[in-house]
Amino acid sequence: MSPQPNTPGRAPAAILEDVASGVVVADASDPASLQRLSLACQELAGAFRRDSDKAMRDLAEVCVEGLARALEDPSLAPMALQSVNDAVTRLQALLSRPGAHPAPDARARPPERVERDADTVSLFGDFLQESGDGLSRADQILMAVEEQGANAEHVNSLFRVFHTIKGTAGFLDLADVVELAHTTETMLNRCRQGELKLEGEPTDLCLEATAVMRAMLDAVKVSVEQSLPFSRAADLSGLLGRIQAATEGAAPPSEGATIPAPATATAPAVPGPAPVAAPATTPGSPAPGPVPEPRLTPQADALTGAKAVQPPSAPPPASAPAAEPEPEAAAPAVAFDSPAHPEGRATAADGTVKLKETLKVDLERVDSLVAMIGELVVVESMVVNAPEIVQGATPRVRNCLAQLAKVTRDLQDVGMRMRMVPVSGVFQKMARLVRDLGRKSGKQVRMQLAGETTEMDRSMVEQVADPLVHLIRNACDHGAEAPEARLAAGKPAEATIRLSAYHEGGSIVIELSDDGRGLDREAIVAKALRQGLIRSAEGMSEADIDALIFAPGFSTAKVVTEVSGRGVGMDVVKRNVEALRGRVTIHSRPGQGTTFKLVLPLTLAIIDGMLVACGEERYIIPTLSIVESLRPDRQMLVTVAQVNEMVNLRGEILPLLRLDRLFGVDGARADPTQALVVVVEGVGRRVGLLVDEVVAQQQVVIKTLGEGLGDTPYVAGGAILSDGRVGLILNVEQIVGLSQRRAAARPGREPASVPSVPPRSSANVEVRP
Amino acid sequence: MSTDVQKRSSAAQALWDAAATLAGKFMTFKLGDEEYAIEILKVREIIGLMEITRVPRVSSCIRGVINLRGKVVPVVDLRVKFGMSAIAATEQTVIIVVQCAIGGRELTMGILVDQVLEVLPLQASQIEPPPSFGTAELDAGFILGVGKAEKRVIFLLDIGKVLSAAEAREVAGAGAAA
Repeated sequence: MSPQPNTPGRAPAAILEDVASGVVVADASDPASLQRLSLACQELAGAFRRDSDKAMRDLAEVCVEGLARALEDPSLAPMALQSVNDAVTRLQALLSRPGAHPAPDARARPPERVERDADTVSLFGDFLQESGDGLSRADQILMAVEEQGANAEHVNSLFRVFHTIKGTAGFLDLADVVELAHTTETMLNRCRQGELKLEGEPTDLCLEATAVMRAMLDAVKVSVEQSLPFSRAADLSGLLGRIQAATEGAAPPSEGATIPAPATATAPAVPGPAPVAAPATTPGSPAPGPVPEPRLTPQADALTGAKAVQPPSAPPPASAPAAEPEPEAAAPAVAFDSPAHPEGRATAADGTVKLKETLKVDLERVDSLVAMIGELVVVESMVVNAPEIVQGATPRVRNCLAQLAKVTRDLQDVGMRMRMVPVSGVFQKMARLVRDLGRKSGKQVRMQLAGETTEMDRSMVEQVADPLVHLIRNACDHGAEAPEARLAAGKPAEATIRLSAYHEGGSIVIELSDDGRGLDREAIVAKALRQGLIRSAEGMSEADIDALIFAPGFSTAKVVTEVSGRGVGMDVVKRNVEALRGRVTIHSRPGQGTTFKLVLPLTLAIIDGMLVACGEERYIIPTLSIVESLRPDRQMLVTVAQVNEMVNLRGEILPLLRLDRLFGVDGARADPTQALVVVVEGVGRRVGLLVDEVVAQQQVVIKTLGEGLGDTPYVAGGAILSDGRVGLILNVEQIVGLSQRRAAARPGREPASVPSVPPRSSANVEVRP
Repeated sequence: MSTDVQKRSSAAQALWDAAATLAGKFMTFKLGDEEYAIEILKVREIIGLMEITRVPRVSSCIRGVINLRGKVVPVVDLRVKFGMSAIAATEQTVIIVVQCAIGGRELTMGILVDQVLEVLPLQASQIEPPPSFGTAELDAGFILGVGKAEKRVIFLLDIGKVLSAAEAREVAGAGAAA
C-alpha cells in the first residue's frame, strides 16, 4: 500500500483498493501499519463524504474508529483488522454494484438479491474457471497468431474456446456472454472456412473480445458472489457491430480498428460492470454515443491505470443503440428455480457466496510430489525404527520423532488425496440435468444423490460424466412414466432417480436407479430376434436378455427404444465404461424400475487394505472385499473328491483356496486349523482364502507394478509398505473367478487350469508411473 | 583394417557401418565369466541389491518388483533370462536400473547382474557386428554388436529388446496357461 493520504479527488474505488491491500499487509502487532491503514480509511471516508454516499461513508467511518481504538489498545487490533476487512468486502460489493457508484440515484434502490442454490453456484464456479482458462489460451494463441500468422489449428482452437463458452453460458442464461461468444464464433467460423483471414483486424477484434469477455465474466463472478442479479453489459453493440462487420468482410472504415485497443490491452482486473464499459472508450470503435458514461471513465481509469481515450467523433452507425445502460435490461432478474436441495444454500449468512477457487497444476508435478512423499514416508520410518535411535533416544528426541511421524502421515494423506476429487461435481451437474429434463418432458422427476463425497481420480470423474448423461437421459425419457401412468400403477406421481457412489471391493461403484417401468424384456427379445442378434430367446436368463441392450446397433432401432424404453446409445455407454476398464451391469424389475451399476476401477486410489502373511510373503487384500476372517475348526473343513477343499461357514459351503499354492509360496502353514481363512467376496461370490495370519490393517496407494511386467494374474497392483518393501494387492475378483472355474481346488503349484481372465480386466489397476 | 573392409560384401559392410554407429560410452557388467555392456544413456542408476518382492505367476526371468523411491519397478534376472544357472547373490550383485522407450512406452526396469565393471568408451573401430550364432540358444537379436577392448570381448546388448522380450514371453506364458 502506498500511503498517499489526502490526494485530493482520488476515486473512492482506488482508495478502497489501497485499503484492501493495506488490510492484507497490515500486522496487528505493528502500530505503524495500523496507522497507515487508518489514514487510508480516513481518506476513504472523506471521498464518500464528497460523494455524499451515506451507507458507504458510515462503513468507512466504522473502520476509522475501530482502527483508532486499536492504536490505543493493541489487544483490539486483530478484531479491528477483521472488521476493516469485512467492511472492505462490503464496500467493494457496493461499489461494483451496477450503477451504485458513482451514480448517486442508484442508492435509492436497494440491491435485489438473487438466491442461487449450491448446484448453481458450483456450476458458475466451474464455468468461470473453465472459461477463464479458455480465454487465457485464446490470448496465447492470438499472440502467436500476431507473431507468426494463423494456421488452421490456431483458428480451430480459438473457435473451440468461444464455442465452449457459448454453450455453457447459454445453459446458465448469460445472454450477453452468449451474444459476444456467438458473434466472435461466427467470425472465427468464417476464418475456419477460409473465407476470412485471421490477421489484422479480426485478430484485434478477437483480442478485444477476449478482454471484454473476461471483464464480463468477472462481473458475473461478482454477481454470483454477492447474490446479485446479472447486469447486462451496456455497450456490447459497438464491439458486436465491428465483429459482425468484419465477419461480413465489410469492416467499417475505421483507422483505429487495426490498433489493439488500449483499453482492452489493460484488461480490467477489477470485477464489476464498470470495466465492462471501458472498452467502449476504445478508439476506432464506431462509438455508439457521443461520449460513454463519463463518470465511469475516471473510475476505470483509476482502477486500471488505463488512459481513458476519448472516442473519435465518428458519426454513429445508424443501427447502433445508445451507450446508456438500458434501464429495463439493467437488472434482469435471473431467477434460478427451486434448488434440488433446499438445505444446500450456498449463500452464507452475510449474503456473500464463496466461489470455490482452484489451481491448475501440471499432473506430472503432482505425481512427482506424491512419489517424493512416498520416499519421505519410507525414510521417516527407517529413521524412526533405526536401532541406534530407538536405543539412545531421550524423551526430547522421542517427542520430535513422534512429531515427525505425525507430519509425515499428514503429508502423505494430503499427497494421496491430491489427485482425487469428489464425484459431487459431476453428480450435481446430473441433478441439474434431471431437473431440466423433467421440466421439458412434463414429468415429475426427483433426484436423490448419495455418496457424493466418494473420491475418484480426477481424470476418471471427467470421463464418467458422458455415460452418466446417457443413462440419465434414458431414465428420464423412457424409464420414468408420466405422472398419470405412475398414479395408475400405484406409484407416487413423482418419479425418483437415485444416483449414488460408493466403494466396493477395491472398485468404485456408481449406481443409477429409477423407479420407472423397467425394461420390457419381451420387446427386447423381439427386436433382437428381428435384428438377428439372437436365434431364439430360449435358455436366456433375464440378465442375458437385459445385456442385449448393450449390443451395438441395437440402440439405433427407434421402435424398440419407444417400446422398451431403453437402448439409446447404450453401446456407447458400455464402450465408455469399458474404456475406463470398468463394467456396467443392469438390474431391472418390470414395473419397479431399473438399476445401472457402473463398476469402475480405482486408479491412483487409496484403499484400505488388510496386510496378510503367507509364508515368507506379504499380500494386501482390499478390506472392502473382506467379509470376515476366522480360524476354522476341523469339522468346518470339507473335502470333495479328496482334493477340492471347502469350508462350511455356518451352513454356507465356500470353496477354500490356499493362497500359498496359488502363488507358489514356500513355508506357509499347511494345516488350516493353524491358519486363517479370510472370506472374500467379489462379483457376488465368496471364497475362503487361506493365509497364515493378518499382520495389520493399513491404507495404501495402489501403484502399477510397472510397465514391462505385462499381465499379472491375481494381482491388482502393488503398494509400498511401511517397511519400504513392495506389497502386492490381490485382485479378489480374479481370485473368486478362479474358484468359479473349478480350478480353485486343484492342488499343486501350477493349477492346470487358470481362468481365462481377460487381460486388463476391471480390477486391473493402472497408474501413471 | 582397411584391407578387411575391402574384402567384405556390401551387405556385410552395412552391418559394419551399423555397428560403427554404436560408438559411444557403455556400462559394462559381468554375468558369470561373460562381459556385457549397455549404452550408458539407457542406464538410470545402479543400486545395491535390495529386497525384491516376488510376483506370482510371471515368467521366471522376472525376479519381482522393488520400491525405487516410491515407484514400483520390475527386476529382470539377466542370468535366468540368458539361460544361465541362478546363483546366490554376492556382495557385488547389483541392480542396474535402465530406462528405454519401447513402442512409444517409456519402460523403467531393473536388471540384476553379477557385477558392474566400468564405463567404457568404445570407438567405432572397436565395434564389430554381432556374430551369427547359428543355432545358438540365445537369441542373437539381443546383441547389437561386439566390442573389443584390449583382450576383452564385450557383448553390447540391445536392452530394449531384452526387456520387451521378457514381457512378451511372460504374456505368452500366461496365455498358454489359460
